[in-house]
Amino acid sequence: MEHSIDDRPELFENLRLELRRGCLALAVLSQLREERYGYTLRKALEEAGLEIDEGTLYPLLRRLESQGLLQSEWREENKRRKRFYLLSAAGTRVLGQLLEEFHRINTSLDRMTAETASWT
Amino acid sequence: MDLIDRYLSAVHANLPRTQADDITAEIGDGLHTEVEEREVDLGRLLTADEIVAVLRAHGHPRLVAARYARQQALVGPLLLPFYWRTLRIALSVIPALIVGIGFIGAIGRNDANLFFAGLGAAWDAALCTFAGVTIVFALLERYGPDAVTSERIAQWDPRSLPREATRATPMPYICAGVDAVANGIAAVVLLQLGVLRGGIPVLALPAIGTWPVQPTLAWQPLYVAVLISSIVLTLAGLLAFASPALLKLRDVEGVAASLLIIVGAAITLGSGPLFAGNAGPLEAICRQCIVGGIVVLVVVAIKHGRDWLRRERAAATPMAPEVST
Repeated sequence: MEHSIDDRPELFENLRLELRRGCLALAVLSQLREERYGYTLRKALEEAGLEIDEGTLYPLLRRLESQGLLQSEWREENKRRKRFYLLSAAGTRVLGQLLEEFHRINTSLDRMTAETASWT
Repeated sequence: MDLIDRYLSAVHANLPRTQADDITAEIGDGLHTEVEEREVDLGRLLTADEIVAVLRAHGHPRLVAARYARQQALVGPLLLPFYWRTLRIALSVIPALIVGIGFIGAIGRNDANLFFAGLGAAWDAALCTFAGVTIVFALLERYGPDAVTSERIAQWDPRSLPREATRATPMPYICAGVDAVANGIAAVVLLQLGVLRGGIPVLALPAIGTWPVQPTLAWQPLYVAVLISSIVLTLAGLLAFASPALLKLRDVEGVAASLLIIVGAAITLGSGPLFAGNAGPLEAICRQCIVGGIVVLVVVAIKHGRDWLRRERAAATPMAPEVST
């Protein structure tokens, strides 16, 4: 027996999360062209329309740093020690490549979805 | 200790030790900053319930910590098909073997309790097998995939794909590794069952209680043949696992090992009684088992030989050019 998408809201949610997951690294790298710490980065992403929870953001920052795309340092600000992140030289190069790829995919998708829209 | 400190302490306890302090400090800073910002917005301190809501939104400490773990799965998607397959084979063969030994023992000693003891031991063996296979694959997942699996997958050759549609089989080098482990275990068990006489291992079953029969030297050709095959196949499997170029020799090794054991079994059958003393039905059962084993090995040898010939022919045949329609 086939289920409609309305019966399985988790199906849409899973696909949505998959779609977002690929974009998060790109979004984080793009926001770290200027130095930020975790909380301000999360706020910047939120204000740009991309909400991300800490449980996803901080491990992602660690992974990007371990891959050499970010550099970080602990500094004191407002009487509290904070870890500031900034794009590394390698991160800047990779960000450029990722943006090119993203625009290419976006253009293709725009074209395809426009064709689909003309059928419906 | 306030709620946030208790929360951070719980996260800290589940983090990788080397990074725990650093990660906890960062999470703590994020939480405190969020709470302070909300207090500024509200113009008052947050209530305990509001702090609980903040922490709940952040996630269960174990889940939060788990996201920092180096290994996210005990056995990941790359190894999972091989894990299931190995587990299925091991859980079918090993307990069946133990039940079989219990059955033979029960007939030999005319004691049904030995059969039931075998059933109990088979259950324990199944649990140990499950644990052992899982541990091996968990170690492969942690230390293997990047160094071994991904590299091997990158080296795959489309010409090695079967010509007919078949069910998916594990990659040959994984089979080689599993074979090496299985043959290695068999060789160790066989060596445990023998004693050295003049530098040559001779089958000598340990005395079990009032076990009425002992194997004669008639077993020696079969014992030595199986032992040599196990050792050779262990080494060959390990070499094939390490070097894919040697995988093509596996069928030749299979034929050679099968023939060696067939010859050993035939000599054993023709060397007189298999047991000293009155073995009763055990003598006949063992003889029938050996004959059955020979038949199986003939089939195995033919299969290996056919696979080898097929592969040789496929390698010699140039690939047909694609025809566009």
